Amino acid sequence: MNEVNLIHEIQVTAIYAGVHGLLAVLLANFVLYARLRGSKVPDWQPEAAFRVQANFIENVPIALLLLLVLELQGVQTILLHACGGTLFVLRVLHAVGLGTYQGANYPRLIGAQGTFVLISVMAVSCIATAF
Amino acid sequence: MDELWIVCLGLGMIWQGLLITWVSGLPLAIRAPDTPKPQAGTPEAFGFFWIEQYRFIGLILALAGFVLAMTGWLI
Repeated sequence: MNEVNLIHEIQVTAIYAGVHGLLAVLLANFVLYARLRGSKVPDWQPEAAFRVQANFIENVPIALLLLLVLELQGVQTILLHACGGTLFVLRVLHAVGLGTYQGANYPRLIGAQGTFVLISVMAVSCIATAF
Repeated sequence: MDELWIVCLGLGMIWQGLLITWVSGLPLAIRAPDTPKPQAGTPEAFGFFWIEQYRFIGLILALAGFVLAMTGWLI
């Protein structure tokens, strides 16, 4: 019975963990795509695809962990959806910006810096809910 | 509840199968069977086999996933 209750308590995190899991697989395949189509993609794209996936792996697990903690701490559902949804949009922006355009561009900037801000806000919120 | 897991298994297989197909395309044996093949025993032949095998894995994953998802949904 406790197990069933726990599943309901982390419903929001379950949604965003699942969505980001699918995005992680997509980005991993994008690395293969850029490598296998070496002659058909720009020289810079394989390295960029690799960096998109690496940055995703560096940032998303900690963001999802923070989301899980916030949900277990009883934060409002609407705020949890705002965090999870924003994280997804920011990671897509970063992937599009870094993976499809060479050099500095706004999707990449907003995606990367937005993720850092979001993680910072969620981290501070986690600490705040402890008191 | 068991049917849900079958559907999930199928949808996961479809997702990765379609991504492999996006990455490598459909198998040449289906798409372009007349494509000249490298001489057997050469590194090019191994590369050709390896990518073709990868293409088949993607196609079979997607098709098997579809069958599993439909099975779980219809049970």
